[in-house]
Amino acid sequence: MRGDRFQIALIVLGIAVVCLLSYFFYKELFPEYRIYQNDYIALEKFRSTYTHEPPPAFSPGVKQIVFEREDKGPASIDRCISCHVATQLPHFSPTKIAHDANGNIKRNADGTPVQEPNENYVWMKLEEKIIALTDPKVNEQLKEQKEWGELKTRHDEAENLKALKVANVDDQIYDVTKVLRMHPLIGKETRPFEFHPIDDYGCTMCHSGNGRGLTTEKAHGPVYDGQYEIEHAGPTPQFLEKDFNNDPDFARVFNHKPSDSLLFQTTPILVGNLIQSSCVQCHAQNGITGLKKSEEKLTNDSQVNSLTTNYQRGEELFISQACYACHRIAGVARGGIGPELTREGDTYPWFLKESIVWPQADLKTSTMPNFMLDHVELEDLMTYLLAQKGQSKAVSPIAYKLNIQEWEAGRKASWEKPIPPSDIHNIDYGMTVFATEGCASCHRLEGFESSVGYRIEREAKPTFEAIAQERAWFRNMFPEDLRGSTIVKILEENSKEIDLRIVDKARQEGLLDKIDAEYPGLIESFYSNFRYATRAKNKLYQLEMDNAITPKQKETITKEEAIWKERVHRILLAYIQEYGLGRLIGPRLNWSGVYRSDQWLMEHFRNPAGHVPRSIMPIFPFDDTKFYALTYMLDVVGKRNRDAVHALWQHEGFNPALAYEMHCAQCHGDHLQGNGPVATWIYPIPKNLRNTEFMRNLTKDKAIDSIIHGIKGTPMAPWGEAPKDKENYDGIPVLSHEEATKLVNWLYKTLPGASVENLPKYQYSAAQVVNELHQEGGSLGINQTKETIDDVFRVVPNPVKGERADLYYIKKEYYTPENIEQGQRFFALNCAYCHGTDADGSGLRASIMSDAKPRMLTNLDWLKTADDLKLLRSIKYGVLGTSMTPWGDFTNSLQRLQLVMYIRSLSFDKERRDQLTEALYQVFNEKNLQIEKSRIVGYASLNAAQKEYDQIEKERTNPSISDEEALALFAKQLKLKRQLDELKKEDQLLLSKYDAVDQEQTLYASAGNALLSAGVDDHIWELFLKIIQVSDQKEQVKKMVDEINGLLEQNIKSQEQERIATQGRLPSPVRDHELHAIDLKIASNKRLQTLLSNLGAKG
Amino acid sequence: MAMFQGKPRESWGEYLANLPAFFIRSIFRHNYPNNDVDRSEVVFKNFFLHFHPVKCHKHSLDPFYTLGLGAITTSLFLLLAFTGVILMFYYIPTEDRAYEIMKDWQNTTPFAMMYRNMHRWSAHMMVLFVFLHMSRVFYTGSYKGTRRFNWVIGTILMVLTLVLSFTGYLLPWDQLAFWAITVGSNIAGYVPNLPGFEYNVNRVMLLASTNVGQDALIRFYVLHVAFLPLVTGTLIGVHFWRIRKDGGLSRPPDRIRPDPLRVVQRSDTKESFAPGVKRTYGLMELVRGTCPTVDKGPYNFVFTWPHLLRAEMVAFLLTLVLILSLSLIDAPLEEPANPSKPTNPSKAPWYFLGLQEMVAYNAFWGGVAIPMLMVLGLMSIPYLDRNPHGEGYWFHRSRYIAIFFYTLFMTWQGILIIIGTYFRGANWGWMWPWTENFARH
Repeated sequence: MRGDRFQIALIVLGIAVVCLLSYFFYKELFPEYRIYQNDYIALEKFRSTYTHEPPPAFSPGVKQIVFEREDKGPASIDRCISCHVATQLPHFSPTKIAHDANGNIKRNADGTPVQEPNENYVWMKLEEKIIALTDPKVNEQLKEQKEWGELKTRHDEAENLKALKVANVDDQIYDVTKVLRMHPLIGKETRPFEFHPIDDYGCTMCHSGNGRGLTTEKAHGPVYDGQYEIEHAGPTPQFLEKDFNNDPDFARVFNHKPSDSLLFQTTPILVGNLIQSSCVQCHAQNGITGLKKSEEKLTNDSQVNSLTTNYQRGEELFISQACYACHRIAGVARGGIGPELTREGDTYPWFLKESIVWPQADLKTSTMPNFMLDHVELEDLMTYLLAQKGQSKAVSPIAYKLNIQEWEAGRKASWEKPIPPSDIHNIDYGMTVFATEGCASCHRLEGFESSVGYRIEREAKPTFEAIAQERAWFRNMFPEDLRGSTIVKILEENSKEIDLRIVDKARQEGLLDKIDAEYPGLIESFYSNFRYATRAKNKLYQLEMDNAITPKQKETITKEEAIWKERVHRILLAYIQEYGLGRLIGPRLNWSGVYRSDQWLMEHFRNPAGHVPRSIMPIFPFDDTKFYALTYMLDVVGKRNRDAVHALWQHEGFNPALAYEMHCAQCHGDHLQGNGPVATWIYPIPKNLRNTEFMRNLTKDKAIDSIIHGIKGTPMAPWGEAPKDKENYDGIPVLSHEEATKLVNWLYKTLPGASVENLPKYQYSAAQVVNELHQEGGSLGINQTKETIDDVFRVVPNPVKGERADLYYIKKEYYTPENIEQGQRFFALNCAYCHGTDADGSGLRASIMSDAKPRMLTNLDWLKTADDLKLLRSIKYGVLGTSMTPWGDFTNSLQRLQLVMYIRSLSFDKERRDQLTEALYQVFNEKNLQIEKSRIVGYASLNAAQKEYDQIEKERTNPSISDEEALALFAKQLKLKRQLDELKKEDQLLLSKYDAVDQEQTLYASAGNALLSAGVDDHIWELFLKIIQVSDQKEQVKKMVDEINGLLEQNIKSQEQERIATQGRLPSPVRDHELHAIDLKIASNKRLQTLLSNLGAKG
Repeated sequence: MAMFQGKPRESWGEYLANLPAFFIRSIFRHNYPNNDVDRSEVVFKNFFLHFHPVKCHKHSLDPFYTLGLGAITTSLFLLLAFTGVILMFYYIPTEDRAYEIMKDWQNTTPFAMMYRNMHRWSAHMMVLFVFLHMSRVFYTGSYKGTRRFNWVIGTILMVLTLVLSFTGYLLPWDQLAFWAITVGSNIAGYVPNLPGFEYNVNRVMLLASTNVGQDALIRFYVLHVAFLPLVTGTLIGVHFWRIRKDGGLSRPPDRIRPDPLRVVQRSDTKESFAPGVKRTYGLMELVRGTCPTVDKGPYNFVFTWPHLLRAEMVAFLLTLVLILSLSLIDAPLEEPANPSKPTNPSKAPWYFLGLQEMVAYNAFWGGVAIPMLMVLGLMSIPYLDRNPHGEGYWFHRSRYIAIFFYTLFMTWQGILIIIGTYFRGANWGWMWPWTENFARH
């Protein structure tokens, strides 16, 4: 029996093996390309039935174009033509080139040949034949005549011809009419591959893809019509509404990650406009200037220009969307925050798309915001990025290298250059920079004007009330947060009313019109919802157009479509005037110029994370002069916006709800829950103002204080401040104290249990701290006697009028290494879990806290706002409404004091650095600013003179004027020339002075940094800061430098003594190590001495 | 009187008529094995069959005892050798060619993909079946008695199988290969360095360089196609030979023993070497070992042809069907190796993911010490296990502690591998397989 079982098993298994092997055999016997080749042969046969010519000779099999490499590396092989056999055959093209009566090619104005339908198109003929064969009338007739044989042959033939049109491969159905097709003509071509012979270029050079593959999947990678196997349903741009009818094709492609077998194509095929990224590999180079030849080629060759519009727009977007500030592209952009994009063209298109629409997909910790780009922008930007393949084929490797080196050595791009002084106080210039060079990509700024306005403005000069009424109507109809479909709905329902009230040319041309004319599509790029609305009716009008018969109907449809698009654009402009230009990713800058000092703004431009820790804003590669211009622009626009708000308050009285909506809702959210549109990237997260516990703990007074003075070291702005270092300081803040009080009352009014009790925390005094210390028997370890308040604390009167009269700081002498070490130990054990081991607020538990994150305790700006007593209080009693629990039961007073000292000690270095920056700014930058200002005055007259000079030059060279006139003009010109030279000399003088100040600043900065890293003691440091203050007076500088050098000399002496003592010890590795350390200290002190002596000599 | 004068000379006609049979006999030297003599001869005289015994115990044929695991593993090795040689005809082990060749070849050459798939799946399956085979041997206590050292050889073969798979993993030169080998060789780098060497000498010895590159490729290639297969083939031969010398596969003692008194002495020397003689032919009388008694045919023994060969044939075909069916799933070929773009996570081949998981906890202990102890511990099992019972029984009652610990060990490794494969995402962080997976680029 057992023998039988084995026998049966053998037979069954044998059959299985044979079946499996035959399956593999079958697959080899019918390769995919043979389907298309057989179809092609059949088509040619079909064609010969009506042309009566014999079908052309064609031998089936694998066909390929081989390019051997010079270095004998693997040849590049394109086998695409094995399937696409008809790429050069005119009868496989649906269109053909039109000829005029003389047989010449008809051409458009730009030289592209005119195309007309091709009557020899094989697929069309095939379609006709099928229709003829399946004609029901004929078939009925045949049926009646009982010609069954004939009927069957006709049916079979029709089926055969129909079968030619589709190919079934595995479970996919491919359209053969797309496979067997002539390559479309590009630009001025009159036959396929006229300018790019296929034998010289192959296919993959432009289309990418895997030339060696012989099946669709292997060669193309996924076919981006959504038919491919999806491994990972990826991030479709969720923020964009889907509109299947009207969205461009690009909305659908590259949204999903293909399955494993398709994912790892060596080079996936490029679809649609993305192919332009291949054109520029040879024809042009992006911003890599210095490649003169290819640049000329691009500018002269309007053909390539007109064929690579998407690429060029992508290049503009790379600047206007601020990509260049974070990403580096060798030769173009120097950003260093994001990944380098120099060779981004080597990555996969779907990875690119995913990275733009969902930056956190690949790297969870990425700080790139989602810019919510529309499909149109995405496609253009991707075309540009796919073209980044490092060195291009158009340039020799040496030229490329040279160019990159030049760029790395400091050649400046157009946006990095210093601006002429006349632009510094030019608001339009500043606002244009804001709109076009990346600021608007994240910030929204009110104050942009265009000619679009309310009808009442056009007709007469309206009163404030009338305009306010109109504005209220607009705000009501178009709230700031709008989805694209909502816009479409509103526009459809109220088109008449809108057209009646909002009109074009209601006032003078504004900046927006200028920007729109100069940078087409730029304004829309920030508003994907309006982009949605613009194309919302594409399909509808297309349908109507197809159904229209008379030219008049067609004309009205075109007109209607144009009206729709114009209306959307008009509303967008009105919307921008109402709410501001730009995206809401960072805070609104509407009033920044009012409550932020110029110094703060400049320092923020230079180092955004300096004042606002964890700010994701990159450092823009602008010159200082451009930052001056932006600062000035923000000052002026800020004041304007403030005045507009104040006018509104005057008109209808202060409205806390409206004020909250305007000023606070961007961060704290419409429903006061701390989740405004800007909140995503803000650190620390905006406070949830509905958190009753927290609000009660905060107290009303403190809340008013926070609004008036802001929270230093966080994005919370000082709404009630008006810094004095402005050009035209008027001291009026955005919110007065009274208004802030009203706002806070309004905030607390709706809190459940509104009465604010005085928590025990606020009775915690310095005396209690010391008492506790005594009771618990602790001691800070310096005086063995019991410490009094004055022993422990340095008492400083509170500069800000608030809850407490005095501020208490632990005296410096208690910052002993022992105390700090104890503090650190306790911190690492108990606090680091939330606050992070580096005390930067990024502990393990931080990520799960939702209402408030642990404080970043190394944030000096914030730390300075709290005195030591407040810190002690927060540790002992916790912070209600946050995860900071009361630690009073787990700590004693000594531990709390040590903790505070440890936390403070973390920022010593940063404190000095800040002092240095501030001192340098106050001394040198102020000076430079003054120089720039005086340059502006001179430059204006210089400009005027130059203009006049040019004018006379023009007149003088005019051949029609007489000799005498010319002579008179020449004399005048000569005089002007002298004047001009003088003015230029003056300007030059100022410029050189500017440079001198710059150099001096660098000198002091480097000395300061050296002192910082050497860790000198407080006395020397304070002396040095004083030196900066008096850097003008040579004598004093010298004296003080000598003083410092004397101190350093003392240090060196004591160190040398120490050295001698150490040398006397028995030789051991430890001794050698210590000796080395002492040597290093002495050397660094000596270096400091020479550095400072330089200062003394210079000063 | 007619005398027999020898065989009469055959006529040309007769000669020609007999020629086919004559020719076949000249090759096979015996008749078709349909009687016991020829069944003996076919095994005895055939080169390819001669490593079989002429007769084998019925118990060895029980498919539910061996589960055919050893035979399947051997079949996989044979398949690997066969498909591997075919792959060698095309492959070029250089950095710039290897990937292109793979891509080119599998897209254009008939059956190329099938051979590649078969090779890959056989390799994976061989690793799996080696472990299964080892477990079978452990659970049936087959390493006991005279078979102790064969267990050690088996363990060495297991390590060789892993190394063979590992070296083959690099050859496609795609991202998967490149980073898997980088991770694998990094694990090798956790072996403490010899003093006085600048770079970790263990890693450098493996890669022939400080990182994975052309040198590593050629080294892995030679190891994979020449050195390791030779060593493995030889050791497989030794493994088999020892089985034969140990009297076939392990089995429980026969329940009905032949009566030693009934043994009739037939040896010409009239000598008996031991009471209850078990004797056989020729030299074997001089060596110690277990041999079947001769008088009435060994109890429970059957001829190798057809019984054993048929069973082996079933195992082979079963393997072939398994591998061919698996070959319907294509072997991956990711993007070309790019040293500047690490995949995240970079995972070693699955059979090393247990190691990688352990390395994630502690590099030295997880990557070096514990694996070393594991291999040494496995090798020393036969010498530690002093329980004489249970040989030839699945899960013998007396061995419950040994079985418990072995099962625990294997489960632990299995869990580690499963965790490493399915539960580890970017930065080796924990990830549920059903949650949104982050991309690998």
